[in-house]
Amino acid sequence: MRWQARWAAVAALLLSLTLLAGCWDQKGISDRAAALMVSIAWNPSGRSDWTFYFPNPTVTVNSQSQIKSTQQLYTVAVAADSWAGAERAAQRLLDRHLYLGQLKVLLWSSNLPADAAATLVDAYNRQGISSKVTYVGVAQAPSLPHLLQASPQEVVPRLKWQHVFSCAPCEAIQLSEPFWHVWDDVHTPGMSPVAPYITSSGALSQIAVYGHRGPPVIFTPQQTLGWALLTSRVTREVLTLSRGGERYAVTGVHGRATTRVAWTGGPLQVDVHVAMSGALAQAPYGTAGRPADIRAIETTAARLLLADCEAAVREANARHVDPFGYARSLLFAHPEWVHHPGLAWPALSSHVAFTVSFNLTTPGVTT
Amino acid sequence: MTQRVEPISSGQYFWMIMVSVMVGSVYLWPAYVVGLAGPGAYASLLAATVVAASVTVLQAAWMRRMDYRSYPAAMEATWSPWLAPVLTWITMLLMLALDAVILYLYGELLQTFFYPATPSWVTVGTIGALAVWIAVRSLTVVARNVQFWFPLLLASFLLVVALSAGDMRFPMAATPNLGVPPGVLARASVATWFLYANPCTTAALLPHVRRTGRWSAGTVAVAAIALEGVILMVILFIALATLGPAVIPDMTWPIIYIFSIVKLSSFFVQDVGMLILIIWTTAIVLHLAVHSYVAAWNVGPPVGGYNPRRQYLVAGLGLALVAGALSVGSVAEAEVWLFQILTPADLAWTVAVVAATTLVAWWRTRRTGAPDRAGGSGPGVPPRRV
Repeated sequence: MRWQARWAAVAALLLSLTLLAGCWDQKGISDRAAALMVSIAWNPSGRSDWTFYFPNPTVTVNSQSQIKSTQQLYTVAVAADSWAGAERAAQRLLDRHLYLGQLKVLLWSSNLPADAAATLVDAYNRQGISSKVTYVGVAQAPSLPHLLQASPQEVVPRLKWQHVFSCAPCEAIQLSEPFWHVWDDVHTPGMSPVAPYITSSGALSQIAVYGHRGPPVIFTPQQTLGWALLTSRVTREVLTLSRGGERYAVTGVHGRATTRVAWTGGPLQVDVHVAMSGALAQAPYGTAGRPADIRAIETTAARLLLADCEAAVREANARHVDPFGYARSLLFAHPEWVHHPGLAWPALSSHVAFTVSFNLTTPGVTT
Repeated sequence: MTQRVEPISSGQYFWMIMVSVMVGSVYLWPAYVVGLAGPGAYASLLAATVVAASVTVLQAAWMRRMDYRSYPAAMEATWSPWLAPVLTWITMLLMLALDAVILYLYGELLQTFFYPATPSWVTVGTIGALAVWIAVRSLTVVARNVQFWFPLLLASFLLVVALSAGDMRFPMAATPNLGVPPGVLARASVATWFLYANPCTTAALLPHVRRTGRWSAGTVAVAAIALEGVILMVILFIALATLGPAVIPDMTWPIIYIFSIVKLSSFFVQDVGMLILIIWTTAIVLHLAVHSYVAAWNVGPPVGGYNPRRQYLVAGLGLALVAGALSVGSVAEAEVWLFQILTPADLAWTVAVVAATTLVAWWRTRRTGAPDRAGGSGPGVPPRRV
């Protein structure tokens, strides 16, 4: 090859490398406004309030100690009736390019009805560039302003809710849901989508369950524990029991539920065996080592958990929702039943037979 | 000007067969087939793999029976000097149309997930240009490129697949469903064919494989197809177990979605799924390069496998490919073309031509067991057993 041809080849190769790297999308980090969180306060009579949360770009390692934690983020609030509208309105208020690829948390208010939530989830999912591992949360309406409260431990560009949802050891019950789970559940027949519910005081111990339409069903903490037991989401719960006037505490409660679903017309017939175990953490001195005592504590704990499971299923049946996905697992086993008129959704209820077993260990220095 | 084609090793042949099927289009998969057959898609995939392997076996047996040194020469000897080019050209044009649609859809994928502001003609044109650049070289250069890059790409791809296994939610949704009606399964198998469509790569390269190892070239080709089948099964399982059969049919690019949710928290690079951008772009360049190379070779004159004007033909095919890709209007239109028109047409054509070619070849050589030289393999080129 002559030298001209060689240079031409090198030049062509460099050009193709540049072109394949998508130059048109090349934007510096200082030219992008990467939203960390979006919250949507639903307004049934008009446009909803959308708030985009951005890290404050003036925060540097040196300035961090001087800037108050509430100033480490800044927000852009707009009124809009769709994702695209909200993005456009927010872009008008920004001097940099709005970018959702780094979105960590997506929150909406608990008055957002199920069909509007599904539309919202679809619109967000449709964008290829948006992050699908964003955590989803439902905030008790209408108290969204507290969402910005930051703990002094947070360092930008991380947010409180991002930490809360991504911290597996912090959660006694695994409530966090990445966005793609929610989107998948919205479109999978036989499943009511579930998202963690944040109360106005900022507590996180409940779930919001979306039925066919209308606002979500908010499970109480007891029903939420029952739901978590039935879906194998309890990882390190603490139980406090009283027996014979004495108080016992069991920590590290975790376990799995095995489920069998059958249907022969009428309600779904569900058999669930919940096998839990935990460690005795508090007992009257000198009583906990006896095998009879351990068995009695196990029985009490199993009964307590059984009551939680029953409460969850009762609420689900009464409100025509299936946050356990029983109908979904039936349809996975029998895909040909998807259009079966007998499996009409959401009128279907579940008849659940529980067995709960509890295995207590007694670790520690004393018995 | 005469020039011998330097033969390739059977390992290089294996990788070239692998890169000529599936890799260029697997990103589109398995939305359509799951939409048709749900968890019965395993059976359709198996059927398509068996058809692909059978076509490969027939092509290898035909080349060996005819004992010719190049694909065009063997076609001429089997059919006639005027019919052979017609058949070959139809095969190549079908392949070109399929590749054009696949390239268009890949450009749209890049734009949707990675480069929303970059016009898709830039990526489509660059990929086409790079493919032509590789394909104008000699067989050994193309084979060496494939042999070097493709195992690396496959290993990275399998790494991403393994990492995405952590996101599986419903393993029970991925168990094969045997209750799907045979008609539906057959339609799903037809729609899977585009993964296996290739411009007679097996037969075209077979005469130029150095006979070294203990495996014959035909066995190597079937092994490549079988390995592709296994990888596709794994991908299908992961897709069904991660997203469930209800959601996959609504997605244009289900696999890239699954890879985009792979996150590693204990590694410097969090979005490992981004690797797929590099893996697939390189894979599709190699895929199109092998296709253009083989296509230009097959439609050339039957002079010992060497065509002095091949480079211009490759450039022309590349240009037609990019022009075809840019003329597609929308993703929906491209999917109709791909799944409902081109793939069934290519399957019917391939199976018919390969079966007929095998039968005619056997008929012509029934007495002697040796090829009929009427078609001619060109003067001065002795036949050689491969």
